[in-house]
Amino acid sequence: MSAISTLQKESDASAEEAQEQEMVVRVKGLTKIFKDFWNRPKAKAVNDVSFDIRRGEVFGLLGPNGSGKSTTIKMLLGLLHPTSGLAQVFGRSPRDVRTKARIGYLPEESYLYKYLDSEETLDFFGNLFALGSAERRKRAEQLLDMVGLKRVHLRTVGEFSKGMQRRIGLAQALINDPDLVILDEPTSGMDPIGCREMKDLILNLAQRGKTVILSSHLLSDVEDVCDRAVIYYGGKVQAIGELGDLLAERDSVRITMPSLPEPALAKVLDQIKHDVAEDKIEIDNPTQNLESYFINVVNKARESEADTSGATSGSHVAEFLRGTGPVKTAAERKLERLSVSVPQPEDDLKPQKSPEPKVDERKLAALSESEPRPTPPVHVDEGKDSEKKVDLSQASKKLSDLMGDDKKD
Amino acid sequence: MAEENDLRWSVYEHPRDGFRAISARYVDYTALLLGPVWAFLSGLWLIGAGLSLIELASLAALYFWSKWFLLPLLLIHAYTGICSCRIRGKSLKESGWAYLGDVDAPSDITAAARVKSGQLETKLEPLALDLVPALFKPLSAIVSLTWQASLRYRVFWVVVVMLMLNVLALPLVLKGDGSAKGMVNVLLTYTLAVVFLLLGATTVWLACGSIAGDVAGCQMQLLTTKPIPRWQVWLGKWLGIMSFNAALLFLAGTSIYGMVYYRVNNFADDRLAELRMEPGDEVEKKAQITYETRGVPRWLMRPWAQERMREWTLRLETDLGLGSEDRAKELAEMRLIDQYKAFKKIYESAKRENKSRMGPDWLGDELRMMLADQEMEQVKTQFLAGRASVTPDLKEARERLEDFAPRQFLEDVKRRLPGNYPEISGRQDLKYDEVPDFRSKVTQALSHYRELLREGDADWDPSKSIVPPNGEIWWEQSFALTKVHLEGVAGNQGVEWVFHLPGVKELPPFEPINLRFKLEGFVPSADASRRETAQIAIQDNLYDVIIQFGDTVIQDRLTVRTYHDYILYPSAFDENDKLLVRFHNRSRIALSVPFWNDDLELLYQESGFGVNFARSMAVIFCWLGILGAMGLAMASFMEFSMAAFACIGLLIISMCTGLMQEVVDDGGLRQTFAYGKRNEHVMDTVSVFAFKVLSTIISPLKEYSPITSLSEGRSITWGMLAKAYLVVWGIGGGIFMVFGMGVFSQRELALYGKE
Repeated sequence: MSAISTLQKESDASAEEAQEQEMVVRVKGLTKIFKDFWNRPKAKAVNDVSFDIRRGEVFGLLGPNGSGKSTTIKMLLGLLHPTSGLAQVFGRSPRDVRTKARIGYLPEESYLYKYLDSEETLDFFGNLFALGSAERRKRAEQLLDMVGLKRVHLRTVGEFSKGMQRRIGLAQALINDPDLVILDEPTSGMDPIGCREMKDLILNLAQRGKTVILSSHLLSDVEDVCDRAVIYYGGKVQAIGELGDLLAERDSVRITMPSLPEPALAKVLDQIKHDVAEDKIEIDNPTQNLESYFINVVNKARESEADTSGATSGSHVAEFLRGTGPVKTAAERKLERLSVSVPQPEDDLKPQKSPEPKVDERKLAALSESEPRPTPPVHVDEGKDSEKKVDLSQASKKLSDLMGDDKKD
Repeated sequence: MAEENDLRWSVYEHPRDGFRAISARYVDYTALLLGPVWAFLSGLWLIGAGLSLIELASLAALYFWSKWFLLPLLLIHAYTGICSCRIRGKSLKESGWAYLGDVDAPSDITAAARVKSGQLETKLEPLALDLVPALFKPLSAIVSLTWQASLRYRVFWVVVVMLMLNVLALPLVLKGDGSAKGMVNVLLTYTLAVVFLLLGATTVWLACGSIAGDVAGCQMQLLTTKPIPRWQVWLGKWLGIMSFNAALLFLAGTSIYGMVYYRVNNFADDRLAELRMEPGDEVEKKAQITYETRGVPRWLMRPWAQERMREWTLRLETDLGLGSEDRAKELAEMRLIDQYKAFKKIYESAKRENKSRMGPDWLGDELRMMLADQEMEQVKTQFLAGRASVTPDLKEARERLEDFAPRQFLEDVKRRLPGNYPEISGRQDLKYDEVPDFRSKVTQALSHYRELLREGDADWDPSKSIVPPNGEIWWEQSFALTKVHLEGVAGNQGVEWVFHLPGVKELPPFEPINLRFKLEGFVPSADASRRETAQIAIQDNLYDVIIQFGDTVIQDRLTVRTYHDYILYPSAFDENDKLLVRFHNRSRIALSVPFWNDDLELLYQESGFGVNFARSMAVIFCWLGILGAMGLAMASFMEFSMAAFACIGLLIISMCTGLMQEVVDDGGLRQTFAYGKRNEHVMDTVSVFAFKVLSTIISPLKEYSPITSLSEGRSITWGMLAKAYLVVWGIGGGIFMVFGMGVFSQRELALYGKE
């Protein structure tokens, strides 16, 4: 009994330690008060905020303007000093150079040097990460290809449109193949294709085990890609949790299926009316998403080879960002996070240190299937998780297919 | 498959022109050895033209000026040799070619064919040669950023044009005194001063703008989220600005150097033409051959001039039928003064024979040529040189000072001290080593007298005016006054100075050494401003003096408040490397040579003008360094306009060290007295402390003025250069650097949005 109990305790401790190691961002009681010249408090931008972000998560920061999202991000980047509380990234201070080496940051506006062209911009930021000359050029070429700026690589950033500046900004944020990507309003100023590419890229990065922090007030962006989100108002956290938990309406069900003949539909309705009041039932035809419709139109135009002087659609994700491992679904990522190996004890001779059951399998299963999911062909739309499964399994390929750029494949 | 004879090719593709392969060797020997030829063959016309120009300029400089110009030539060749592939690749990319990759093939056509058939072997950029170690990559990125900014915003080219205008146009506008000496002096002083001002202003502007601009434009927010410590960002900015300065200073320096030599080389002919326009009697006057003198004229100190004078004597004697075979030898063996007397005698005879006011025409021409050559030699030895100096041995003067000054002090105290203090007024004699003790007695007496005044036990003696707080001021006045008296030489009196220059005999026999001194009309007052005012009245006159060193006696007519130079040679020194100089005042008024202020010295050539010029450029660079550090330090916590304003304020303060020192010396700002003692206020204490600190920091920084040294032909030694860097960068720059880096590292950069 005692031996089993000890093993169990050690197993729990190891799991905690593993989780600790997987912690990318830790924010505890974070507060930022802006002060005037005489050190008098002027505004409380962030008020006692706490949350953790683990490896591989896509974490959303939501909130209206001035709610404290960007201030939190800037404290996580070491650009602002917290008035009180703790902000740690990869277990260190955000101002530590070793921490910065693992972060990629896309600011809310273009903070790039206007006199550099896109190639020089990437070369400059590559140099800041001490990348070798060949590696720098290779990555720059792949990133420019990815963000669709290869053909305009000699134009200076000052000549770019806002969307193009976002694209080159994204490229610079990824030049170091970061473990943590912080994106502040990443889709602002971007055309729908760019938005879609950005979202697919975020999902793709998450598949490769990268952590993404996404700050936006475009709720659809957050809804499409985030695993978890925090909602700010007045500098305080108003809600935090998994998007599925936050958004699910557990007292209603939507069924999607091919059109039925009228008698069959009436029959089904009659059947339902036995259990649900008539005024609670809604029947309509599903409409196509405007984003998808727009992309279809542009794809057709591209097929007719219309010329453009602006950004082209990006091709596949940059080779150096793709990694070599298999693509993982959201559930698999969640599993991986929880089942990550605990560092082996230095002394192999101590048997009790060897954690046989590193994690509780049942607990894992429960966590990875936190919500009951009906099965196709008649599938229940229970949020974005199931849609993400499809996206995640094909993200890289889909990008190319969607943009119709198949010459590289 | 790669074969043994295959070379590496970088293949590019153009949407219209197809494929093209260029050699991807690490070193292209054609480019290494024949850079311009390689550029033209590669179709890089602009680069070819640029390289040709640089090569020609460097070769010309190498041939005409200095072997040091070999260095930039070698660097350019090495650069084109190593970077040839990258230069061609960049040029192709700019023309719309896309880099595909590298491939091994025996020829460029095969390489392109192999790529077409999908045999691309590697996808590395051509010649990925990493010259910068990983540790310094972030720093070098910031440095290059400054360059890219200044080139793209055309700051570099604007400053280049302004510098060139300064070097080429300013000397045309400025007028010297017509002499070669004046021309070089003006050329060096003004052009170097304008270069310094121009680069200094650019440096402060760039330094303030580079950090403040990046903060205002929020680029700094992105930059500092990258793995580069903020102190390195700061340092990178400074190094960027300094490399920019180095390039511009090199450009300006070589242009000024070339301009000086160009003007000097043309000057002899121009000067001769000018002298030919002058009447003969003017020329005679300038050559001083009509003076009734006891010595020889100044120009005759030069060996080549002595030789010419002997030739003129022989020719004049031959013309008058007085020549003899052994006359040349006889003349050469005469003392210099006798040679000169012989020349003057035959010259006067020639004038009488010609029945003219002047000698024969050919002699006039010879004299003109001699004057022009003398001026040129003066320029070359005095200004186009790096001269070090030795001051006279003042041991004897110091002994006299220590003997006279205490007595002067004693008399002064007796005359000025109010009240009755027998142990002071009864004193008959005072020795130098007794001065501290006596001074403290005076201080005690003054303190006692003030106490009596305050208590009403004594009356204020208006004849004694101000009662100083202690005896220090009276002693300083007496000491200074005695020094001034020792410098004075009364009418028809003489004075001697001894110079010691070890190793002088090892110098070449005709290596010119300059005796340089400032002559002043004697005003017996220690107060500098009073002396200067009094001298204005006498400065326009000429005063007869005789200068003697060794066997040579020179009679001259000199102006006061001017520096005078005399050439002498190592032979004038005795066997102990000592030179005795006698100065005799033949005028009626007293003159003085202020030797205590180092206004009496011997100057000898320590280095060539080129090296000296380079070192003075290095001192200017040192100054630009501290200006850059100051600008960056201010911009580390202020926005651009405030930082620039603060820099200007600091520069103005730094110019007022004299004023600060006065306040420190006076012991306060206020000039009101009560009972003979200064009224004290807390502001006095604060200002004295603040000014003392500022003056202590700033004054040493201001000691290094390369422009003055260079325009006087003074040597800026390696030691002085090292000391300048140590003081200016070590103290001044160090303070700004530590402060700037510290403040910038702690600054919250995201407090404000993008401007």
